[in-house]
Order: sequence, then structure tokens, then C-alpha cells
Amino acid sequence: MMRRKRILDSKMRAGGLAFFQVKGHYVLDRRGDDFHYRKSPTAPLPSSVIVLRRISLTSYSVRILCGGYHDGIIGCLLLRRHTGRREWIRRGFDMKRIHGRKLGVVSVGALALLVFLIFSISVTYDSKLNVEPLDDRSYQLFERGWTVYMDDVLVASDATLPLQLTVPSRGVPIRIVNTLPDPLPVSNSCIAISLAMSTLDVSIDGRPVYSFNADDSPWKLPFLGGAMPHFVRVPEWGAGKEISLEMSSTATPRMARVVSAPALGTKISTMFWQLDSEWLSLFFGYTFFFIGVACLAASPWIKKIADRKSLLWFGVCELFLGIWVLMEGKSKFLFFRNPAVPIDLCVLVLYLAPMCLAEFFTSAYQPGRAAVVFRRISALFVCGYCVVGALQFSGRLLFSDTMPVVGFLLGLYLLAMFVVSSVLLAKGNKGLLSFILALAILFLSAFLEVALFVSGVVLDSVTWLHVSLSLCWLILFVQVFRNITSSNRDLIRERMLLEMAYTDALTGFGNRAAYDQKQLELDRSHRGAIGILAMDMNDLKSANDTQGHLFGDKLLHEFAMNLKSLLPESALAYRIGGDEFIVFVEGCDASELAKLVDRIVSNFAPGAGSGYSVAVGSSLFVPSEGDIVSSIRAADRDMYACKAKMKGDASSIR
Amino acid sequence: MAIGRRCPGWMLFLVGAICVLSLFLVSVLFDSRLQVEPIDDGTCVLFDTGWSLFVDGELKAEEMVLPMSVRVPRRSSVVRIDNMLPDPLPTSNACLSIGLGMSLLEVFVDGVSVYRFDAEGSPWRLPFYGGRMPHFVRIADDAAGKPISLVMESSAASFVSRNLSAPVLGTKVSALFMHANQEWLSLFFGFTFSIVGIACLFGVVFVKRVEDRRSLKSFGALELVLGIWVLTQGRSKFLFVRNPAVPMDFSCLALFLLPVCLAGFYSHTYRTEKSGDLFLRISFVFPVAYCVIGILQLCGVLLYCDTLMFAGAALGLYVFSMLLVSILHLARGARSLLSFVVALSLLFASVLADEILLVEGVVLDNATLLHLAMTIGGIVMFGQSLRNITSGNRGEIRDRMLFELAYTDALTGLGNRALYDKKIIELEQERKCATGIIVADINDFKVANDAFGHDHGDHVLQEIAQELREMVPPGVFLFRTGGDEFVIMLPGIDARRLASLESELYSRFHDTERIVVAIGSYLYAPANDESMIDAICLADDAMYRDKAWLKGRSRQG
Repeated sequence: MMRRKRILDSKMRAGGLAFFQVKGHYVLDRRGDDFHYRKSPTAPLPSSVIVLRRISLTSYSVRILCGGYHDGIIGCLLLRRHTGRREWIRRGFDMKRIHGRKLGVVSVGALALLVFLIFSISVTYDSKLNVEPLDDRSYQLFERGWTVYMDDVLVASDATLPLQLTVPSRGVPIRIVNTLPDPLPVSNSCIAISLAMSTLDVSIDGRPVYSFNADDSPWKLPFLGGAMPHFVRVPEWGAGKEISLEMSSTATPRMARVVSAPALGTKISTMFWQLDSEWLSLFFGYTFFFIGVACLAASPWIKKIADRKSLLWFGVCELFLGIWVLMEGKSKFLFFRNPAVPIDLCVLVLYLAPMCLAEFFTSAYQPGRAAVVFRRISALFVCGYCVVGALQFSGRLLFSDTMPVVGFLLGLYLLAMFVVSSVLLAKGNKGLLSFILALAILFLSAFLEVALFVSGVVLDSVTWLHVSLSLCWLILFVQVFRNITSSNRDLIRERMLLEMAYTDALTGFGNRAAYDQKQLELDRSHRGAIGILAMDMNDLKSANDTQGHLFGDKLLHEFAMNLKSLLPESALAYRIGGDEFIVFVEGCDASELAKLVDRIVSNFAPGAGSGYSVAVGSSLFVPSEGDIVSSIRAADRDMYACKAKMKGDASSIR
Repeated sequence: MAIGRRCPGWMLFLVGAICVLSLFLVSVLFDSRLQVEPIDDGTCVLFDTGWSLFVDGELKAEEMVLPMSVRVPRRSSVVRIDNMLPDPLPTSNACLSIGLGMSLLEVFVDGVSVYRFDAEGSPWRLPFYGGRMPHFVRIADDAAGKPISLVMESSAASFVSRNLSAPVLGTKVSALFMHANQEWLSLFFGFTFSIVGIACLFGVVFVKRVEDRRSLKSFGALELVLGIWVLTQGRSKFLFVRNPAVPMDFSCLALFLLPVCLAGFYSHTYRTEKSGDLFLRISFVFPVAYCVIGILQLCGVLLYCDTLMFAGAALGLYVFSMLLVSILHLARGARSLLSFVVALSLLFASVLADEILLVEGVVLDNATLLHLAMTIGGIVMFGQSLRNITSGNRGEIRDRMLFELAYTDALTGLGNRALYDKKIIELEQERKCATGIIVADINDFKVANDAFGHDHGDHVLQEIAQELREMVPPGVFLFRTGGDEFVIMLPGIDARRLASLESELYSRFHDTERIVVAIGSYLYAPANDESMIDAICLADDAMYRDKAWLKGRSRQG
């Protein structure tokens, strides 16, 4: 009993595999998740490998892995690192799932409920607090009674905005004229108008008060960015005077211009009017962006190349999506006012999206030849970006002019991808189901967005679109995650098989192959002194013959365990033959080695009551003085001398 | 030639990348020059000099400069500050913006009340005005040069000194941006923490081991709590919610739950036994205190905000002791605790800094550094959690492999003797359905082994195992029970199908040149009140009869 305790103690400190001897019969019952061991006079021990697992702070679970051994034979105990050692040893085999002094589920639940209750009460009370809102809601839409001129030709009078106009060519000025109300709705009021890719000149009573044009942008075609709200202060003297807004768009003439209705009110209220429906986009965009960055940052940790690539491209897709959502939303204007730079980002993302998607498709699903086609097509989009960029330099085209076309092509590309992966799925590539599902959702949302864009409708809130996008990315992420875990498992399995190939199953020491390898390694590259121990169990063969192999195995085992507890941490032990062992002790000098030998010999002396004795020989290998093979031979000779001496002693006693 | 073909593809990619990047940079460069009028017109001026201070109607200071801290005798002491509005005002339609914590505010211009914020609508016994919030008061154009006075009555405990910040005078938009501008980063940090927290809580579903699940759960809760704290403490929240009291409630809850999450993470991730248990136990004092204080607040004795300082100090102490204990464990050799010590020292440093500044009465304008420390700490702890999960995963696979190894015959991949013994006991205990038993034994295996060598014998065994595997229906157990003995157990089979399978085996193994296998079968029916062992013996007998017949046949042949 004492010895077993010592073994367990030493093993448990190191963690890992420990062996012990089982005395008596035990039966394991399982009720639900609980395991019970009970001592039984008749039933055999059903197994020899037991996993003791710590479930939580004070409870353990026991799992029987393999059976076949009977009374008095070796059992194998697998222990996790830092398991609660003392309690377990004291309990010996009377292992149950111990419900110690753990905080009860009931008391924790009651506390949680109480906390929740008190929190709800405080929120209820505090939400009743009357606070003046930031936005005083003083704006009103200024939509009626506009006179519209195009190229100084009257188009409509007394029109109600928003109004859709078809413009014959790029740069045709549109002027809308109205009379400001008298009195103005609030003092110090502001007129807010949302315009896309257009200059704006505002004059009141013939005096210019605001101008936005592409003064500093040295493009050949002026580029004024995407939809942005303009806030124009209306001076007090302007009440009742004529206001005229002159716009000249840089978008292609094919697109119909939508003139939206301005709002009149305090600047704060008009600002909130513009941004209020866009807060969610800000958060969705940021979430996508963040997840993308996180995936990119995590990808170097993935070991398998295909998985790493799929996570990387997933991250890029997500990042691009985040950029798109953030840059298309209006709430970005809180942080920066330039509308053109975000559009640049949007365009880049739109043109690169097919490539990222194709790369992700290839690395995550391995679709074979189809992937090559998609990758080639996606390269066309990238070329398109370069071509359109060059055209923009020469002043022929703007990136924003191509957006509807590219959006449409992207839609087609996605549709093709969808069809191809459906075909592949039908042919038996089961993994593609998740891709098809995600793509169906993505396709739907992208199609919708493009359709709305082409028909000139600007979505105020695209929340549900973003929800569907999130859903689709979640599906894809689960796929990526599943790939990673499954190949991770394969990797671990491989490594463990390798490890097992070099381990002697009975003793847990290195086997002959490991020994050969280590010997070569030491011979080649070692510099410090190494103590070598050669050991041989006496009379193992006779024990095997008289009491059976199982008994012999048990003896080997016991010896290995005891030896391990005697050796220093850095020692490497090998079982190189049936009853032969070699130990290398690195960083050891002659006196330490002698002490170690003494300790081992005295522990396994013939009269020590262990039922077997061990002959030990040693030598010190110093790289400058000889080679390792001769040192091992010297240790062997020493061991045989020891053996002969032991036999002589035994016969003289007899 | 192959290299020549591959090289352009690689080069093409590089050229494409450079093209795209340079085009993008050029367009950004051009477009960033576009001049746009900013939303914030920058007309704000600090209105910080020349104030006179009255406490409970008594003049305390004149010509003073804000910000300053004022000590008040009682909770309900009234603080008033007076000044003259500039003439002319910095803009027309100006707005006075004042950041105040937990205080009633009434603004008088020329003796006329123009703005009032009190706890109207909140039915607490003690009025509660929430945390620090900016007030925006419109100043009429004709008020230039007139006297202005601000009357404040705080709901915080009287020993907390009142911090009066300098008001800002300008347009409302510019004042708003002045208040929120330094806080944008907090908004994003807080939101990031919350997303990570929620993602971890969702991710728990995919983690198999109980310990890892708990560790990840605690980590998620910790991040979420931190996120809520950062989001609700920052000022940019006022863009979305104007009520200052509700975020304060969230902050309080987060503060009192933080120790539980931290201790949960500590004990489930690092398995520090006693100390983890102890910390977990102590941490439950905090939610209990939350409940007690909540009840006191309901009775009108105390406000949460009064206890915020003590709770913060207690939290600091708690975290500090945790740090000390884990350093102690680390010194004793628990290497994994290094990550916790690093993360905790970062967190502790940031909490300590926060606390000191709170006590000093300094309100942090920009807590970016603090949040950065939290982020790094979070990443370090997450790394540890992840490492545990992967290593646990490895352990599980190891267990499963050991199981497989222990029950599998290495040569043939069939079940071994141990599994066979186990299965017998199982089937006997279940006693559910009839089980067909087929015993197969290779004739003269020993002779062949001796004549052709062990390699040949091994090959024969593998071949037979493979053929058996192909012939039997699914859901059947195959064992190699001895050197040349195989047993097939077919649960849920009837006599007819057993007979047909047996004849199939006969035709396959009886009339071959090389290997002849003797086969015997028996249908074990639990209803017949016989034991499994008996049934196997009967199958064995059948096999021996077959063997004898085969031997007789070969002798005749």
C-alpha cells in the first residue's frame, strides 16, 4: 500500500500514465453520469484501464477503458495533470463521484434569480427618468412647392420631392427653387439635403451661402463621392426669401437622378434624421470587420495549410463585407466627412470580392476543377478594377459608373457558383451543402441590394439584409471550424501513433527503436557527460516459465514503476530487450552516478522482498574521451560483473 | 519547362496585386483631398473662468476656475455657481453644455429658470440621477452679458467630493462632438468586448469537455461584463440612449459580477484546487452584496453609486490577492499560471488606475490605455483557454485510441479476446434478442505456419479476416479469439438467415485449394434459458464435427 501511494504521488505530480496493482475484485456500476465502484467477492475486475477525470473543483468521474485482466494483475490508471491527489488516494478504490463541499446548484440559482430581480427593478425604475432628448425633433420635411429647372429649362413647377429625373448627359445642371417659410421653423435653422455624386450650390435671395464641388480633386472627371448629407445654415434674414439649389452630378447620365426632399430644422435634429436608421449598420459593419480581423489574426496558428488558407480567406471575405457595410452606411459621417474615400474602399471590395470567395471556395471545399474556372473568372474582376482605374485616370469613366454593372456581374458570378456547387452536391460532395445554403442567402441579399440600387431606391435601413449576411457567414464559419477540428484530430492522431511506435507499452519507457535513435543522436551531437546505466532483471525467465507470462509482465511493470520513481527527472529510460534496460542520465558526474547505482541496487537487492533482483552496471560517457557504443559496452560489462557477483552471493548463502 | 510555366502565374499574381494596390492608393490620395465642410463647426469655447461658488447659499469662493472639486457637508447640500455670460455670445443660438454626475441641475439666466433636470419620473425613495451625463442648455441670443447661475443638488453620498467640470459654450452640434469625440474608441472597445463575450458564450456549445466548457463560459461572461462596463461608462452612449441612470445600473451589475466571472475563469482554467475554490466562494460575496444594496436602495437608505467606491476598492483587493496567490503558485511551479499573472497584472493595473482616478475625483476623458490593457489581458487569457481546449481534445483522442488498441487485434483489426469476453457478458445481461454464433477455425494452420513461416500465416489470417468482414451484414461483431479461431456474433438474426450465411461461408471456405476453414454455428435464444457460454460451446461442437468431416474428406481425397 505504501509503495503504491508513493508511485501514485510521484506520477501524479508529473501527470500522464501511471500503473498500479489491483488487489481484490471490484465492480463498476454506471448510473447516468455517475460511476460507482463496489467491492465484490466474486465478480472479476472488468477492466484494466481506468480514466480518472476531474469534472469540476471537487468531483471526479471514473471511466473504464479496457478489460480482460483478472485478479491481482496490473491495472493502468490514467490521470490528468493536477488531479486532486490526496483525497483520491485516501479513498483508494472506493471511488464515487464525490459531491464535496461544493456550492449547491440551488443556492447559486437562488442568488442569480435575486440578482436578476433586483437588476430588473432598478432598470424599471430608472427607465422612467425624464431626460430631455438630444435630438429636439424640430425638423420638418421641406418637400412641396419646388420649381425644377434642367439646363435652365423649366421641367416642373410646384413639384413635390422626391422626384426622379432622367438627365440627357453627364454634368447637366439641375436647379430647384422654392421660397423659405416665414418665419423659419426654428431660429438658427439648417437645411439638410442628401445628395449622391453631385456638386451643390445653395443661394438664398441670389446670395451664395454654400458650395460643394470637386475643387481639390485633380481627377479629370470630378468625383464627388457617394451619398452624403449636406448641412447648410439658413441665416435669419433668409425667412420668406427664395432659395435655389443647383446640382450637377458626376454619375453617368444613364442613371436616373433622384432629387430627395430636404429637411429644415436645427442642425442636430437634421443630423439625427439622417443617421438614426443607420446605427445598426455601424454595428453590423464593425462586427463583420472585427470578426474578419480576428480570423486573419488567428489563421497563422492553424497547422494544416488547407485549413489555414480557408480561415484566411474567410477572414478576408468577412473583412471586405465589414468594409462594405461600414462604408455604405451614413453613420460613417460622424467620424469622417469625406464621402469619396469610402466609395474608393467600396469599389475595391466589390471588385475583389469574387476572388476572395473563389479562394475560400477552393480551400474550404476542395471542389476540384470547378474551382479553377471560378478563380480564373475572378481574376477578370481584378483586371476590370485595373482597367476601370486606368480609364478614370484618363477621364473617361468613373468607378462609380461601373458599380451597377459590376454588381450585376457579381450577382451572375454568385449564381454560377451556386449552380455549380448544386451540381457537385448532387454528384456526391456532401460538404457543399453548407456553402449552397450560405450562398443562397448571400445571393438573395446581394441580388436584392443590386436590384434596389439599379431601380434607384436607397435603403434607409438594411438591417434584415445584414441579419441574413450574418447568418450566412455563421454557416460558413461552422464549416471552416469543422474542417479545422477534424484535421486537427487527424494530426494529433498521427503524432500519437508516432509516439506510441517509440514507446514500450508495458513499462511506458522508450522501446528498442527509440533507443537506437537516441544512441545515434548522442553519438553525433552530444557535448556534455552522460551517465549510462545498464540493468537486467535476474530470473525473469524462470518466473515467466513457472508462473506464467502475465506474472512476468506484472514484475516488469512493478520494476519499471519503481525504477522511474528512483531516477531523476531528466533521465531517459529504454527497455531494449525482454528484461534489459538502459538509462541515460544527462548532466551527471561520476559521484552522482555511483550514488544512483547504489540506490537502485539496494532497492532491488535479492532480499528486499520484491520477488526479483536487478543487476546494475554503469559507466560515464564523456564525449572527448571515447564513443558512446564503447561506453554502453562498458556499462554492460559492469552489469554482467554485478550479475555474476549476485549469483555468487546467492550460491554462497545457500 | 514546368517551372517556366508556373513562374508567370506567380508573377502575374504579384503584378496584379501591385496594380490594384497602386490604383487604390492613387484614388484614395486624390479623393482624400476633396474639401468637405465638417459637421462640427468648431465654435465651442470653454467657459471656465470667473465663477463664484455658493454652498447652501453661503459664498465659498470667487473668481475661481473650473474644473474643481467641492466638499459638501450633506448629501442634499445645494451647490450654486454664478457667472456672467459673455457679450457677445460666441455664436448665435448658442448652447451651454455641462457634464454632471449624479446631480440635479437647474439653470437660471437673468434670474429666470431656463432648464431643469431632476429625478422626475423615477419613484426611488432617494432620487437617483444616474452617472455622469452632458446637459445641453439653449442660451437665447438676447441673454448675452446677463448673469447665469447653475444650481446643483447631488444624489451621491456627501463624502464623495463633487467634481464641477467647466461648461462649454457653442453650438449644440459642436458641444456634442466635444463631449463625444474622445469617447469613440471606448464605444468600439466596449462593443468589441461584448461581441467577443457573446461569441465565446455561443462557442461553448461546440466544446466537449465539461471543464473547458466552463472555462470558456467564464471567459465569455468576463468579456461581456467588461464590455458592458466600458460601453456604459463611456459618454458616446448618449448618442443612443439619453437616460443616464439605466447604463449606471448596468455598470453596477457588471462591477458586482466581475469577481464571479474572474474566479470562475481562474478555477476552471488553471485548476488550482483549493485557492480556486476559495476565490470562487469569496466572489459570491459580491452578488450577495449587490442584492443587499439593492434592497437598501429600495428602502431608500443607500444608493448603488454610494457604494461604487467601496465595491471598486474591494474588487481591487480581490484582484490583488488573486494576483498574489497566483504568483505564489507560479513560483511553486504551476507554469500555466504565467498567462493569468500577466493578464491579471494588466487588468489590475488598469483597475487600480481607474480607482485612483475615481478617488482623486478625476474623470478620465479618454480611457484608451485602460481598454488596451484589458484587451491584451483578454487575449492572453483566451490563449490559455484555447490551449486547454486543444490539449484536452488531444487527451480525449488518446483515451479513445487506447480503448481501440486495448480491444483490437493488431494483426487483423477485428475484436480481440478481451472484447469478446466483454461482449459475451453484455449480451448475456441484455438477454434481448436471439443471437447467431458462428465459430470458424482454420484447418492445419499450425502445419502451414511451420512449413511456410509466420509471415505466410499472418497473411492468411489477414486475408480471412478481410473476407469475413466483406461477407457479414452490418451490425455484426467479429472477433479473433485465439491463434486461428474466429467468432462471429450476429445479434437479432433468425434461423433461416443464419443458415444461409453459414452455407455461404461453407461454399467460400470449404472448397478452396489453399485455406480450408471449419465452421460451426448455433442460434442462441435467451428465451430457452441457456447461457451464452453453453451456446458457444454448442457452436464449437458443431465446428469440431465439421472439422472431423473435412479431415475425413481430405483423407478420402
